Amino acid sequence: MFEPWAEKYQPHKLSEVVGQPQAIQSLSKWVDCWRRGKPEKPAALLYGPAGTGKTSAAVALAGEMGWDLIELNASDKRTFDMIQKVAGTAATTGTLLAGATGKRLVVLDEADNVYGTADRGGYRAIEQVLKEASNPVVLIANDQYSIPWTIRALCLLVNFRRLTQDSIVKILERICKAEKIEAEPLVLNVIAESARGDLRSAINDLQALAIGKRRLYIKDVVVYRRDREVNIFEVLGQLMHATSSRQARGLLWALDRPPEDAIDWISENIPRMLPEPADLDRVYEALSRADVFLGRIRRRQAYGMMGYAGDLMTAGVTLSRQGELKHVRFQAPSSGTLMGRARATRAVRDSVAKKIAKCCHTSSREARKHFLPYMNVIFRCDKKVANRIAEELELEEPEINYLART
Amino acid sequence: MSLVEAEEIWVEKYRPKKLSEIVGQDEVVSRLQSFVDKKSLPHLLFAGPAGTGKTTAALCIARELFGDAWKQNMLELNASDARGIDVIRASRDRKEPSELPSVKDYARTKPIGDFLYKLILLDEADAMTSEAQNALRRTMEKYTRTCRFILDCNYSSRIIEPIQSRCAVFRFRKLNEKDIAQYLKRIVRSENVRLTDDGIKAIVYVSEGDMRRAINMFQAAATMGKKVDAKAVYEVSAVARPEEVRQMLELALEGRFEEARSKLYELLINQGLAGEDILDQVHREIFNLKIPESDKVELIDKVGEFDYRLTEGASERIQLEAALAHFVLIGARLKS
Repeated sequence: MFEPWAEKYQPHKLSEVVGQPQAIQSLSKWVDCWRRGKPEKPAALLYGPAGTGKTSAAVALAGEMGWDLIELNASDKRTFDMIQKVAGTAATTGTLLAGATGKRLVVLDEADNVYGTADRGGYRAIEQVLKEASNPVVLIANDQYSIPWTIRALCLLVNFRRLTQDSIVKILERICKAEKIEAEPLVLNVIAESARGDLRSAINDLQALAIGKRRLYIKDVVVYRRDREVNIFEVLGQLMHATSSRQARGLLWALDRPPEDAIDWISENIPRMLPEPADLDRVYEALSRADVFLGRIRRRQAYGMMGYAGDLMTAGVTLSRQGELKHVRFQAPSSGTLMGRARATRAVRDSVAKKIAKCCHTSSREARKHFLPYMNVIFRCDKKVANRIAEELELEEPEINYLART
Repeated sequence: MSLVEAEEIWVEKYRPKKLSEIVGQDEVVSRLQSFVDKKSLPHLLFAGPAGTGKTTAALCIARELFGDAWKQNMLELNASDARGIDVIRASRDRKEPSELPSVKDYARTKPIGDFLYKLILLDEADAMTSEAQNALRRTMEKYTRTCRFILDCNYSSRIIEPIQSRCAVFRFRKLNEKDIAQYLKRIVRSENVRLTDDGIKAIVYVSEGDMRRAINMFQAAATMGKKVDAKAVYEVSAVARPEEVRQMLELALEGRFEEARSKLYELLINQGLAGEDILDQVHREIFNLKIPESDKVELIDKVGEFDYRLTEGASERIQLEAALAHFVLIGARLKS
């Protein structure tokens, strides 16, 4: 049976969590306070990038202290009642095993995802729970600033950083030893390097690589990476040499990705291959039209448009080219993760605009275009006025930070 | 939150509370005043450019008719935030639940206090789809006894005929320098700031006759320092509307596509700007570029096309990159 190594080798004690010395020190002290009564801050907010050990630390903590673990995730439909019901009672009553003196650890995972009108009550409920809690609560988030300051003020803030390549390699070495796998030098380094600080993905990569093998050679790693990415790169390379629309379209199937993803890969790389401005313009026209179809699919669920989008982004692109091709190194689309980050910024921006719109008898759009830039100036130059406006509009911390950004 | 009077944002703090305080619309105001004095109000349609006093006039009417109970007897909806027919429909008839109050539900209930009717203010009514406007027309007819509508729009031609014929139409004109100066000077008297004559001219120029923009700009410039002169105004404008869009376009015109693209990502991602807002600025910047007029026209046409595609739901990144690609093409053509 397939057992993910990321779970199999999870730490059982806080001391076993690797690569986060300050975070663990902070957490240990906090845990000690709970041993003796109740700490000044009953909640801890663990924040940082993906795969750096936040959830594992929380689980290890609970295990080590013999606390029951209750996990709530942002994907649960969080309403005021639900959090109250589950977390509230969980936080204030004892456990089955240890009775009234036992403690349970309540973990609120993806706590930065509660934002938004659907969960308007969610943060208020969390705040209340934290204030009344007699049990430890851990909040887990990627971005601490997406959580209202009123809640952050009640928490011990624990920062989890991206792991260094060395820490990741050490852990991979340990796993290899336990799984009786021998790895050529550099193999683990390459895996660790591509993980970019995310330990979980490094372990997953190692496991995927090692299936059915006793020894790992450097060429396996290269091949594995190639399988994941170069397949796409090969297709991209072939795309610009296709001579018929049928051939070009066929490549989309080979790409094995839905058109919304494929267009990102294509638009990231193909334009860089075109030194002729006329070609650049024509290719983008094709991509732009393809994207319009994708937009129609998004807006109106008109899935029949999928074919047109696919054709335009392949045949449309290929056959627009008349000039030379430049050889470039293909790369993954950077915009994906970047746009994800942008989404969070925009959510904040839009909620500020909405508040201003309501107060000033105008539309959100007008507020966004014509009030926000001037609010930005005011918030940067005069903190006193900024505070008064923030109070009047009932702005939350991320909204204030957005308005005061430089 | 809308029950609290805003005191900190000057646009609200200094918004006229009486019709007589509105500047630059004397004829309109005197006609409206006579309706209010007789307490006899037809449905109203206010048409005109942004920031000329339309919403203010509606709010003043509400205050003068209802006194302290004005907020309870007026429903304000902005049609651009909620365009569809659901805004008009009764809550129970809606396809999706919405937090916005329904015009129908509001129209059919009686006023609070000893008044004959309530007011419904529909801002940016020209953003309503014609389906919604037709539903609105029926509602207007049905509840004309208990409810008066005040519709507010930029272009009256976008309001369907049947609605126009049921309303008294008032055209608000664009404000001139005198109007804006007069109003800004009122603010100067209450807020301890200095406003020079060239400062006024600068504000008038940049705000393009829109009082709301003028006041926002004035407030922002005032927080930057004690004296608001032309320099301060342009500084604020530059900060609020940075040079970055121009830089991005210049890179594209020079053929440096990838650099232009990076700049675009910065605007989209770090600054969280909306694609349509960026295109708006691009549109404005085209006029400042040092290229032949015919190329400017071609670019405007293209940019307009990409803007339209955005409204169709296309993705910002790709459409804006495509716009940049066209700048690259124009730039290359000019070089040869």
